Amino acid sequence: MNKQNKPTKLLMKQPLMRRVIIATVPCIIASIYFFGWRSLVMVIVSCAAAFITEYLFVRKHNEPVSEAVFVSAIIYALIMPPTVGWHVLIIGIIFAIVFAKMVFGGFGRNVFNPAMSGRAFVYICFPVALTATWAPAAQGLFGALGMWTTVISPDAITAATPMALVKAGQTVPPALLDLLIGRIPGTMGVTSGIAILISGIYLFITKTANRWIIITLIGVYALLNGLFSVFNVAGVPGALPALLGGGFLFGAFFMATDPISAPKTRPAQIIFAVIIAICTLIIRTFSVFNGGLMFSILLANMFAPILDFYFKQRKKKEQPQNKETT
Amino acid sequence: MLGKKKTKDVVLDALWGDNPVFRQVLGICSALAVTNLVINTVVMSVAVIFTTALSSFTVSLLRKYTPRVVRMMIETLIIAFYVILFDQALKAYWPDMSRSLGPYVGLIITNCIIMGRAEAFANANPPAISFVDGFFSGAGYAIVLLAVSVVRELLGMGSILGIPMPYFSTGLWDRWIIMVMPPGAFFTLAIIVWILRSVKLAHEAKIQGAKK
Amino acid sequence: MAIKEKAWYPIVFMFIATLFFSAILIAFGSFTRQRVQDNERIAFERAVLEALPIDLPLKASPPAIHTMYLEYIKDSTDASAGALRYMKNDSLIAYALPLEGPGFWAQIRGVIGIAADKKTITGISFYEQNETPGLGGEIVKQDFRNQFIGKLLADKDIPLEIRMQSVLLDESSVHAVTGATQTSTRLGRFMNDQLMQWLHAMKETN
Repeated sequence: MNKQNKPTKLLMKQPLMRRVIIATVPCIIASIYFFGWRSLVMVIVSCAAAFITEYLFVRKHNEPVSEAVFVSAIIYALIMPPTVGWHVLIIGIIFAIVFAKMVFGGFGRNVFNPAMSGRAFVYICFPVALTATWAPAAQGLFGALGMWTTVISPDAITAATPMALVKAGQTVPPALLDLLIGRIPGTMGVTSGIAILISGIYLFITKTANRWIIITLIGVYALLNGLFSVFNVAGVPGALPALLGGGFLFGAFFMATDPISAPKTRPAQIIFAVIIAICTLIIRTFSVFNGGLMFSILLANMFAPILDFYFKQRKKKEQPQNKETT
Repeated sequence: MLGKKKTKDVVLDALWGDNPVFRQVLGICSALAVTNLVINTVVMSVAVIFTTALSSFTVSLLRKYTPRVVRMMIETLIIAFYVILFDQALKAYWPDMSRSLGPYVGLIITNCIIMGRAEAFANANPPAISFVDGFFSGAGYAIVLLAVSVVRELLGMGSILGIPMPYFSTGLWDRWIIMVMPPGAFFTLAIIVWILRSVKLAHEAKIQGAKK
Repeated sequence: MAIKEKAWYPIVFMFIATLFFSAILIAFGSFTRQRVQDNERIAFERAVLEALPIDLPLKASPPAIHTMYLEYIKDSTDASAGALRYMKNDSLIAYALPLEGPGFWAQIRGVIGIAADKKTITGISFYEQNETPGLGGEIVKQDFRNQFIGKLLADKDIPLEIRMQSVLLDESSVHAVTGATQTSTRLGRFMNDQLMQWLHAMKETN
């Protein structure tokens, strides 16, 4: 009742974004299970920092804060290593909201996926914090449910993620089962294939995420990886491990399908997904970076507006002609 | 450039009202390239001030004899002359600095601020005031660049002018690697321009409010 | 002002102006040329001395460097396959092999010192590089360069590997500069190519 008296509400109601937030729950649970309660606090801190940042911007125009900001913040936190310092976490999310979202005019006008931009920023800014140390996943039935973090002593930190090891060509990739369950070192919320699949199916069925992008992206990426591994290209582990490793599924379900930065027309969406798949494979296989999917999504984001523009123009051209002929 | 401007107005315009970097957004290329270390920026700023001041002076000196058709060529010639002079001097007497600035000293020739001042001011004003205008336009550029470089070196390397700063050079500070890379300059420059413009807008609003 | 309207005036004016300014530049250029060349020479000589097991004072003056260089360093011969030789009392102590290759931004030029056994590294130094300060630029720092001293060239395709921080070291590998993957990869590539070439050439001639 009080709300009506206020000029605007604090939050903008966005059912689509709420569904995405619900979909992240399995991933958050998995990250707590494997890496301890610090993960949950990281998600909350990230959300708080993101909310405050956006609030400071929209306050001037008396506008509500978009709920999408929590989606960005949660996704951003889930793609951080579980050991990452608080300052890194906060700087990244503030950067993401200010430079990837608010400078473009706020919700609905951003070109780049904010979570990915934030991650790319800290990835380049703090390479050591983001790539050098990884917490091991907790073992046992109850996982890390009784722990704050799995890094009990400095020795417990492992050197590399499965993705990095495959790239270095030093060990065989971990067993598919481990990849599927997610009991491996990696970024917080994206190690567990099962949790992501549960979320993904929810997003898919409720039509929250664009189905065309998901199907094309996963299909093309699997196909390309399969082909490459048949020809024994070094560093390509094969279709299935590639799909399950390095947070690819998470990226495919949650980030490539971001309704704001992905294209809106169907042919554009398909081309968009193909660009991501190809770039990811190239960057993961031939470059020095491991964060292939991250850079690919940002690259493809750049093409989204012009793809949309092209297909919309073409449609406009076709329609009058059709009318004439019929 | 109608009528004669007072020296004080020229100086204030060059430094603040019409600052080449944050008002006219000129000379951005070098602003990005040489601001990773304060010392590089200082030398670069000296080079730009030297060139804008003297080239404005020379252009103004020759303005009555220069035919309009070759005006731009003469200006470029004069600018290039001073830049090469500076570059050669640096190579001979401060080789380390010359090496770390790389091609950017030579690229001052293409710095739009200098050509802009020659075209917009020196062509129509006497030598002395042109010299002042060139000098302070260069200084206006230098101030913004120095601000960018202080932020970048402090956050990226934990030092200023190579001197380790308390807190920032200790383990407590996680160095921002992106600040030593070119993208760091984009963000820093953008934020500084943002702040300065907001201050300027607020200032102007205040003046207008007072007038009413 | 009638003269200003003549058709030939702009051409003559331009010609005279160009002549005047170029003359000054050429005069200044020839005045400093010797100094510029000396600077480049000294930078190279310092790099050679730094790569070798020679006690070079940190603030050695250019003339002192030049004297030391003339005293110890002998030109390459066919038997040294392009490497300079460090001689003391007529016996060969080490080779100094100049290295050159593409870095992240521009060409990197340096010198690597190899003891007379053609196996032990005595040091590495760089006299020309334009890598990102604080990242790739760190290759000129002692922390990075000191790692090389005492390493052994391996009998493999990659005699002296530059490894990521996360990978353990052995007697013929060093750690890359943290965060400067590009510089390290490229440096590693051309350094090893040129070391391999040199080792091959040495085997053939001796």
